[in-house]
Amino acid sequence: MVGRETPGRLDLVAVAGVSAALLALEVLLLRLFEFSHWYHFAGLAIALALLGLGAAGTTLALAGRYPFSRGDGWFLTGLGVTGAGFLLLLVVQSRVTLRPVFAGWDLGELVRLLLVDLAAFVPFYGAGLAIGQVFLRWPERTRGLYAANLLGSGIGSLGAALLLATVPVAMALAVVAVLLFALGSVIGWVRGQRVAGAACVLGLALALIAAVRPPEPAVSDFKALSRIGELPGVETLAVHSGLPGRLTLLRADSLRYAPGLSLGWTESVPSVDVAVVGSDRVVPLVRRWPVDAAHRRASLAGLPRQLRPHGRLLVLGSGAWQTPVAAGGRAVTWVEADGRLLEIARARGASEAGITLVEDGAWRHLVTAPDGPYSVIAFDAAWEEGDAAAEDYVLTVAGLALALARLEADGLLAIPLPLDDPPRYYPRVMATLERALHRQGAAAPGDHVAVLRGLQALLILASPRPLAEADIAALRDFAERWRFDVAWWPGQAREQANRYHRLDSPVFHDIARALFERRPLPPATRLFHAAPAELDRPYPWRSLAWGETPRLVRELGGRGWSYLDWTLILSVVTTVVVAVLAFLLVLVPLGRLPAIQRPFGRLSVAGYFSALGLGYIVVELVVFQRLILYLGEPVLAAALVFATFLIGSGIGSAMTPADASRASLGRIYLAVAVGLALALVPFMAVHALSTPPLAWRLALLVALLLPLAWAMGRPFPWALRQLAGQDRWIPWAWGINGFTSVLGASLAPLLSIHIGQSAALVAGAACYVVAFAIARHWLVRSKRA
Amino acid sequence: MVQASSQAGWIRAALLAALVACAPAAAQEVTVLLQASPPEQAPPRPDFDDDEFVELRATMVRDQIEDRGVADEAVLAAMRRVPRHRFAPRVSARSAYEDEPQPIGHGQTISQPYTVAYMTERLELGADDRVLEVGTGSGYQAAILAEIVGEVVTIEIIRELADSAAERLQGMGYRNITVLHGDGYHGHAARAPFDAVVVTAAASHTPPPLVAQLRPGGRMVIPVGRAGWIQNLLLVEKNADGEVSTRNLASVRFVPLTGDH
Repeated sequence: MVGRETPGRLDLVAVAGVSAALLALEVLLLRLFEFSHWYHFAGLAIALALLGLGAAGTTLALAGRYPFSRGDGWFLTGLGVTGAGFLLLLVVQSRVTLRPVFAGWDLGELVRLLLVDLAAFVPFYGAGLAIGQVFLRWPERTRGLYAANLLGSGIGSLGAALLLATVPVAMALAVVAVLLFALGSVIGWVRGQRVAGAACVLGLALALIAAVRPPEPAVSDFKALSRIGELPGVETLAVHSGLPGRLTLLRADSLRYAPGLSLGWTESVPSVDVAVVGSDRVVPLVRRWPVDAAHRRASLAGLPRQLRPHGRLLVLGSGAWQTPVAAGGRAVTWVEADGRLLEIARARGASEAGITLVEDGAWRHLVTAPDGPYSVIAFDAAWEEGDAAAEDYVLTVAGLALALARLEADGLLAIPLPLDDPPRYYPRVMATLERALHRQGAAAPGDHVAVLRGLQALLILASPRPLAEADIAALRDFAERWRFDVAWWPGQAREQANRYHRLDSPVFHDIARALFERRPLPPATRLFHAAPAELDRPYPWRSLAWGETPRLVRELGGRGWSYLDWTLILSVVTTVVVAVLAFLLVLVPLGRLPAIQRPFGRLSVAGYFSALGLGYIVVELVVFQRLILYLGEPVLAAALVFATFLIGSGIGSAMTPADASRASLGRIYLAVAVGLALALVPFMAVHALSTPPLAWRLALLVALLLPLAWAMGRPFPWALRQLAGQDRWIPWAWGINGFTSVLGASLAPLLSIHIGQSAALVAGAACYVVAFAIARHWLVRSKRA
Repeated sequence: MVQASSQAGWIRAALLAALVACAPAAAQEVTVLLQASPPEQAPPRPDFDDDEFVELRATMVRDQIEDRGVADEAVLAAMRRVPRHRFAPRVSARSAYEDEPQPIGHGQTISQPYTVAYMTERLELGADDRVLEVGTGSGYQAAILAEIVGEVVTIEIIRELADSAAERLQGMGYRNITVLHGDGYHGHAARAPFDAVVVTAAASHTPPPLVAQLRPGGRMVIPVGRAGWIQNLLLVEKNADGEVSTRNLASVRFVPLTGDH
């Protein structure tokens, strides 16, 4: 690439190729770290890795005055480091077994974790070196280069999703490395860079070996996949790749699941198989339908079916609660987003047993409800709980109201929860249910609800109309027979709520009473966040109340740490660590850069590119969060959003006006405003966008988002173009943009959780307002000069 | 090795046998790795030479256990006596006495000292009691129990752990512990009933066979809940009529029952 005044086609392909590899790595890394790490650490790990991009910008800013920092040799070096980083990552992940659950208190384990994560820093750093220097080399061609960067990124995002759907994650990484080294080999050959080219050929050979025989990621012995693999007589029946993660189907006679089972049950519980998704999510699956499920008559899990012996059951999601187990000729619709689980069930006779298997998101099925109304809607997925930062649209006020509307007049919602003492999620779920009942017209929501409690399970039942005397009598009989406590029924006395499984106080009854009587929760239960989950803040599994954290730890002692939402805490830690590191890395080259010339100033350049970096990623991630509502599967939503934004922005950047005029600036930011207005539609027309079939939904969403993506791709290259002539400042600006993108990636979920998705979107839009104001200031200064 | 019953107790024994016969029949294969010696008036205790960690154990008992409210003298004495570090070979001896669970391999841990003491205290054990432990792990809990009661039957599903625990306990000189390899979900009907049952691995439900093998008046301590950091520690009590009730004791950190029940 040395000596050419403009980038050729091969140069643009090279930029696109490295960009594609980079985005593919981001997507694959999420899946890889989820497998090997404790998922709370995955975000931190990825943020540290992404710092490699910003660090590359700093390196380029420092090395920018030296000729070797631009040219084919430097590019191939960066590419080679990227590819080597891929291989290093594969080796490290296969050789080092982490025990992230101990990292919370074992400093040595934490250090090991961070060192392993540094392996991921290398490919990002290498890619940053390669891509960043092309802007330094051809400062007049930022539009085309940035377009290649973004288009390649979009292709990489889609390619990674395709790979994840078809091959194991380790093989996917190796395949990307193969493509990368192949690209480097071609460039080395064409451009006469023999040494670098030979190194790429060597890398290609190693990557091919890894692709054919990919090294398996080492799994902690504390992960479910490892523990179940240790059982005597365990058999691996099948392994399937897929977007939700690797699915391993296992069988062992000692695998039995019966949450909610009465202590009074003395007979056997049948063995089941399990599907382990990823390394830790365990989904029990019956070996063959019909199944002997006699034990369910003594279980909270079987109670809804006993109360409503006729009519269709709807089961949302999968988990150990296993409502489909007792289908027994009853009409059941089982909705699950992971089609592989349904395929396994189908092969085992579920359809013949009367179960209709539907691969769809729970929210969408409630909206369309093709086979409703239902006599029972069982929220099986609720038993598995969720992460504090994971979107769960069904357990929101809107979701529960929708479910109530899909029931028969005397139908029942059944929401199982693991029992926590002190109650962690129960207050929030009950508050959400109370609000949903109100929305559906219930004058006294407490009359519509019953709560039963076993030794480790809660079952919340709710009906669109007040529970009949017959229902209450049946509940009480069941509870008496099987020695469950009834924590709430309409008119219950407090003393009746704590008989068999004794707690220090009938706290679950007290919470229900406080909520239904619209009084404050008992002081002892105010340790957790208990506001109803709304569609704009669909995080029902967020329990952390920041103000109560000291009291939580003080009152519960050491075990209080276990009740904290570590995802949120580590997101805050990530944000702070990244901010500090970014600040330092941004400051490092400042003393060695030449003076910046008017109309620019260091602060305004930093401000502009920071605002763009933050704004772009915050808007992108908030949109991604909302699209999970419509698509059901987070990885599918991520692939669609990332691809749309990157490809759209790539096209937009290629069409960026080059002149520095108020007119061009106005056009650029007006387009952003129009795009943002269109992007509001997914936040408003919820039902309209939920009903179309998948292909139409995808097309509609892309059509709504593409204008915004196109518009958001233009401010960055426009400003880089203006910096032409002050070349050394370009990688610095690019690096700042990279750092603030990383910062935004950890900040965006925090914003959505705490202030809502709409407000987070506004915050992202505000960043563009700031950027516009700075750019206008440049133009004014330029005119005065 | 069922204890000999007194003349007056033969009816009780017959009733207990009948109750145990009602327990779910399970095709349970168990391997005896260590057999307890016939019961004596006072089972022999291992003779531990004073080791360099006596003071560390005393500090552990004082700071981590007594200060948190465990007061049973038999339990405290056992915790002072048993060399915990010998049950956690994968970590340094000093680390074994820290206020944390420690890994022992195969996704298992030796429980936090306080948890072991707390669970043991809640069983309200007597010197003549027979205790079933499900989830031998390192054998530490079994050793603590053996310091207090007449006989301990402990069962572990992971063969390597069961072997190493049996070897360790035998090497240390315990004569009143039977170590079995098998699925603890089924308990051990052949040696039932038990005065107490302690389950040291979390389960998603209380296994019916364990409840059946608990004698009337007996106590079971079991952590229940999902895998992860927190499980609820339950005290299960069976009254004279065979009815069971539970009391929620505390939330603790455990590893899950390996069969993921």
